[in-house]
Amino acid sequence: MTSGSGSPPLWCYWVVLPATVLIWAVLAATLETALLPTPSAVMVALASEAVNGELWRHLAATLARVAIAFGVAMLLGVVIGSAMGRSARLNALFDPLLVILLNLPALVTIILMYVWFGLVEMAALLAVIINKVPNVAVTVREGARSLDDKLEQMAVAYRFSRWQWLREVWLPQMFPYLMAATRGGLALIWKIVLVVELLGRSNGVGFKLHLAFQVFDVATILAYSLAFIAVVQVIELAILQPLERRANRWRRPEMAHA
Amino acid sequence: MLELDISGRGWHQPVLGAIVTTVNRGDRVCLLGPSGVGKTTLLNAIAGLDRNPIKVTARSSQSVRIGYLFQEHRLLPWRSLHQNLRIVGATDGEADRLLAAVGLTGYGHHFPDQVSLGMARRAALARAMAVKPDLLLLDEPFASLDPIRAGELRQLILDLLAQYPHMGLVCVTHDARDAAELATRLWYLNGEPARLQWDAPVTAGDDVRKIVENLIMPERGG
Repeated sequence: MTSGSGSPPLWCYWVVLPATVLIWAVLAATLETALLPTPSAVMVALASEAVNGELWRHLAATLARVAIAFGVAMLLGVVIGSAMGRSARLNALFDPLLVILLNLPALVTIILMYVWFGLVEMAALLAVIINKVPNVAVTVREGARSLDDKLEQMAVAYRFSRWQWLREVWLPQMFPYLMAATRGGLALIWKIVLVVELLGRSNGVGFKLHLAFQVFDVATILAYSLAFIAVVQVIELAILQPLERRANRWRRPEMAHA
Repeated sequence: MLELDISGRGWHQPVLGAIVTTVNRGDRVCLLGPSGVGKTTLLNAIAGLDRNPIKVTARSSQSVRIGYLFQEHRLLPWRSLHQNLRIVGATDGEADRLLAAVGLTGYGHHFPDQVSLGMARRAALARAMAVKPDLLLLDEPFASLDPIRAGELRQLILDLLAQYPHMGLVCVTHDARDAAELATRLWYLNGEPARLQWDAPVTAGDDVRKIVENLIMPERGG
């Protein structure tokens, strides 16, 4: 592992994170205020939310929104981005629109969707999707432009079927870009979904944070934050990283023949 | 087997001029010509890969299966050598047999980047053979190989040609010796736009080296 790149060794996490909790605990114990609950108070809040089922209900609602918005945004973004990467004319058509959408604050989209369509689920999802599609399209466009012409020719000469081309030529070359779009996408969508929920839904983590905010229940806010971080990490470790390792197996060249 | 009728038409100055010729079963054509004249463009045209403003009509009695060995190996880097052969339609057994035929027994599970340039090229040759081609296209198969490896590959191709006597061959080369050992027909591509300035079979007793050297001589002189 070269310095400055990749993840630091695992033990760092086991030192820095407990140290952070320790500092938090000392600070909370010294200040003795409801605005900074102790770690144990947060754990108690988390446990009670888990036992009464609230935690799971709201996490599930948020996860469902994230999943749908992510799926639709990736699909649209890949289609638009691929088209833009291939055709100069489509690029000329969509690029100015992307400039607007990329610079439009997420909050504006959310408000507009709620104003135009009412406080309904469709408006919430649409707001998230509209925020995300331009990022995916831009990333995928880069990927589509970097596709290797020589492999394209090879695929034509060897009469690859559409499906073979997609699976054997397109996907492996696009994978790093799709992965970047996924990572960036999830990070963005998580945050926007919470705001959408806070502003106009009656379930989900964002809604729950809204309730806790109104009564200054910091313990619940921190409890939900922790649960949230845990879910995001599980997705990273259980889905994204194994996927990446599997896809990158061929990149480890060990010369069999000098 | 394959009648080629190429006419360079389009907005830009076409690379290829009018070319009308035929490749028959068992023909072994060596395609010679100065660098950059359009030899690869002609091969691409035969393989149906044209995006240049060239109109190619390739008529053939039946559909011609083409195996193409590009200058680079153009194997899928994310697939093992064996999988690269499977993808173009070889069965498991055929892939093993073809890899063995090009001297790559035991390397089937390696990825293209894990083997040497010469091995990757031989794997690419195996892939070209995996489609059971009627016509094999080779684009400078011996370039950037040392003389020993080039000699081995030449022998390998001669063995394959002997094994499949009905297969046609079009091989781009710069080397008179390649032409002497492989060709039953010579094409010399030159001019702007390029035309076949020489298109004749090699008959018994012809000194192919002499013919090739005479063809190439003027460009060396100039």
